[in-house]
Amino acid sequence: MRWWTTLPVGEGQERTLQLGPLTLRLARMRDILRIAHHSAEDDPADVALGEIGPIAEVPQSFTVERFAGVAPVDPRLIPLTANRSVVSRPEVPLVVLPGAELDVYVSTPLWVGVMVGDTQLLDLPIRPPKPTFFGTPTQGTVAWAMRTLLRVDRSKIEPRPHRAITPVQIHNAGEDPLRVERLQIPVQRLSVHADADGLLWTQTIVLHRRQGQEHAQVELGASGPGPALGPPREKNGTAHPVLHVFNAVFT
Amino acid sequence: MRGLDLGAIWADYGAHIQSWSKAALMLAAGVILANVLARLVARASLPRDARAVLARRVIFWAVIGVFVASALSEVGFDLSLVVGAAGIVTVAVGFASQTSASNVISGLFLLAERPLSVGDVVRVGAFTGEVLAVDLLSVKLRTFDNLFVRVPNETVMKSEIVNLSRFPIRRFDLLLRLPTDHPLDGLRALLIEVADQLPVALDEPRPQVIFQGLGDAGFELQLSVWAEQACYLELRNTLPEAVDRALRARNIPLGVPERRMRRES
Repeated sequence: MRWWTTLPVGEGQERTLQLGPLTLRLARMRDILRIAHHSAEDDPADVALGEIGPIAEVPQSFTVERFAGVAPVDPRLIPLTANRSVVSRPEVPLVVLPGAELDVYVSTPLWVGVMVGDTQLLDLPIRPPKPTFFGTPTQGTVAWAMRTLLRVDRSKIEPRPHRAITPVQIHNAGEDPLRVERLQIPVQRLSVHADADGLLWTQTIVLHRRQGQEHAQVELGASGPGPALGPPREKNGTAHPVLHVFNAVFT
Repeated sequence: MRGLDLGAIWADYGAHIQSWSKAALMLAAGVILANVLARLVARASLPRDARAVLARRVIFWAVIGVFVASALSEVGFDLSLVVGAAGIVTVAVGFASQTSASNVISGLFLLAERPLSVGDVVRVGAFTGEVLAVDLLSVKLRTFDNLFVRVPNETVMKSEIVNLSRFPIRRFDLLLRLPTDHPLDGLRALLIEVADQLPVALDEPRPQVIFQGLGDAGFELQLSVWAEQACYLELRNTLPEAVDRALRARNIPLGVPERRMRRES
């Protein structure tokens, strides 16, 4: 199911959608749109996707928001990347030997935007990630943490409604092995695309370690398959190096 | 009756009229130039930047001073008298305002060194609060119970300043005493698990359990967890609650000091 679609909600009606761990309920009363949402952090049904039956009484654990003066058009759901960089830590560190190049795939968390016309009403994480920090204690970036398998085989990627797949091209032009233990991905600068199979992808990231450099630099690569489902959160310039990647364990 | 003889007036007073006119023009030009330069400095700097405010004032009054001196010199005023009098006044004022002068100089050093900026949360002496202003004579703080505190710059320079918001992340240390009935590695794993489940706790730097020692109440452990600066208070409140819940769920009481005595007969 392609959840990034228009969700018609007539007056007096409600629609409830399950996006992985996120339950999203939209109800319309006259010109007020009421949206209730809840994300189950430990939900084992990670891949649940679809519309579920009406909820008689919204549980207390839900967050409820009301929007008045909403235009009389149907709400639309759009996939968004995370609002901060994502620090992806492979479950098994990867060592790229000198001169080697390879493509790996990382899944990155998605947010869902609720749009009415051109107005964005909500911007929610489908599964709230854990915050983390990338840098030294005095200087760095607050980001979202993720564990990843850092897959090499594209066919083994499991489709999940709350994740997009980010291809990463790794080039090690240095003279010694490049140990990838943590990877900071600037997802807020990537656009989200959907392929023919309904999988969500982002732009490619290129991790390039040049000769003489201790660390690898992250650059933005090719666009994702299919048209972009929306602009990136942050506009980026040309494919200049945007971030460095630490290849040592942070202590 | 004789009419007004402008020619005679001009012959007698023309030089004075010219010099006073020049002086007035100099003053006017000085005021305009001082304003223009002060505005240029204001535009080129960040709003609320204390150094920019100081620079604007210094430039404004310096330019005014130069043009006033030029105007006075133009009308024939002997500036050497002013300089002499200013020297005596300076000595007198200097003795009388040692403290203020010290505050001003300390203020300049504070602006240059920047141990604190407007908006920072700092602890100076007994006061903790948000910095409202860094002025020439004093630093103004707003405490968290909404009190206004004025700290002389000299005091700030002499004190240790703890800037609580300088860095993006901060660590909270929770000290625990746990009974020795339970194995240490199990306690360590439990505390780390509790920290990992807190939404505001950072995944990295990793939470740590540091063994502090063995006391009367059992193991003395320090659970250290990091959070974003803005979430520090929330971490400080929610971490103890979460640890308390986890310990109660496993019937692990907090350590109580005890002494065992053995009687021998």
